[in-house]
Amino acid sequence: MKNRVAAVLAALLGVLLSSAQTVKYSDLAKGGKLPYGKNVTLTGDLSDLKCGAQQITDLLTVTGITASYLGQAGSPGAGTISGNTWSAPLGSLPADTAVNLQLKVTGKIVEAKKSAIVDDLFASDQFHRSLQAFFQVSKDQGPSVVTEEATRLLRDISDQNGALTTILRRQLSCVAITDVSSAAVTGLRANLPAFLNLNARLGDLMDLKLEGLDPHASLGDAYRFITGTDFKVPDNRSAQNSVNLFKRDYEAVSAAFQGDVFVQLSEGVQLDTSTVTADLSKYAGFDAGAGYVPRINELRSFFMVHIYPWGPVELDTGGLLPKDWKKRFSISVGMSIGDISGNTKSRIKAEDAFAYGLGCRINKYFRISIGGVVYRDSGTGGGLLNEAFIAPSIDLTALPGLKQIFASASSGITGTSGSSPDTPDNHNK
Amino acid sequence: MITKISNVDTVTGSGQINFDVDVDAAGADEDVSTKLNGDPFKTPVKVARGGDGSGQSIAHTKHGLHTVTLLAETSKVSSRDFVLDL
Repeated sequence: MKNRVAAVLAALLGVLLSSAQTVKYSDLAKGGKLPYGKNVTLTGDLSDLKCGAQQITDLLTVTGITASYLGQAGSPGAGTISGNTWSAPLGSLPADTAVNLQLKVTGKIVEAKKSAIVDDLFASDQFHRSLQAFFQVSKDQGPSVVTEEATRLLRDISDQNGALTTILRRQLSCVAITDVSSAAVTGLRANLPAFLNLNARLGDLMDLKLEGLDPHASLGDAYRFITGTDFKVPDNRSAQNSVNLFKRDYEAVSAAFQGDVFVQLSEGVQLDTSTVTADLSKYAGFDAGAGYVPRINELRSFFMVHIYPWGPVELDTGGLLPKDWKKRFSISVGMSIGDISGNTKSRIKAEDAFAYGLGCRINKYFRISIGGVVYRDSGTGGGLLNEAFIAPSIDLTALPGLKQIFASASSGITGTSGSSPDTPDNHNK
Repeated sequence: MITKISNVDTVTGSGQINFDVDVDAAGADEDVSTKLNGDPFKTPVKVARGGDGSGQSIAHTKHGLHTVTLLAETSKVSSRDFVLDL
């Protein structure tokens, strides 16, 4: 029987302590709060992830996501992508601080964007001038000069004001451009002939005057044309070679942009959601309650101070038990000042008794204490006696009207998207 | 005569530069040449009237990245500039 009761109690405690909570990211973006004291997992649709007005899925094929908050001590846990939805563990949130939520989205640039980047690069006057200069300088030169000039060209397009940098900045807002540019340059360097010959390959292709292909088509349009289902491969072997070589080199150049890229949804971005958790942190609680002293059969009022021996305790605004058992136990001392059961002849002389014991908080407001009362016997002996008691009580310092007196701080403001959560005003409200 | 030189390409280390030529109604019988790092290389191209000019090649002895432009010596038709990893 004892074992069954223990099992039921353990299960009950397990349910209370787990207190994990799933929060929709879209709700946070509308100003929702993150609950303190629970293991929070954020969920949402991929379409919820936006950079300004633009959906991230327009830029990336999302492959990974992590959620964290600014200043988080541990590493953020990896989230999961399932179809068009995602979830990411955020863990427990700190008390009394503004939480600046950070989402790091990993993915690969979508084909349409890759095509637009390659098109824009090769249509850029800046790039054309650099390419012409390359061929002028490297013509009839040895491999060292050609390689050196090719490296110079790549450096020119990827420097701060380079053609590639400018295009990436325009096409991939919110993406960490430096990473993309660096990876792209590495990819292009590995396929230098394809990169440097792509314009010439397009020229050879256009010379075929393929029916249906606009003579002014961009690289991307030409590629889509020759890979389309309606495209009829020419009979002529030379024409076939032109098609195949263009396709090969275009794909090699496009592949330079296929590495993983990151989008950090953070400050200044629409989805950067700030959330403030409301809380109360304290070293001691002041309780009032009724205690039963069975040996003398009295029900008495108690006032007790509960001291938290392991440091300050943060109360859960949701009213549930904190996960850490240490935060629930307290050492209590106080006094009983009178009988409340209508007893006409109390055993306690002058109605005053010293009380001591241990308290266990049930939730934010309520506690049960057990211990002893020390009192002077009003009977014939008049000796100092000690009797056990049990007392449910309410933590007065957790009541809203009193918490400012006892607590270190409290706050309860929800920031809006794009606001600055760390302002003194927010903390002091 | 040769009217177009296109699809200049190579397989690295093969010692050959591959290309295709288009010819006019008369066909072609002329040399196609290039310079690699100052050294001349050429190949005779003979295509019968109405024949297939694809699959031509120039043998060379060079290695590494080179900018290559092929020139038909009689008709003075040249290819576009290509960078090949020889």
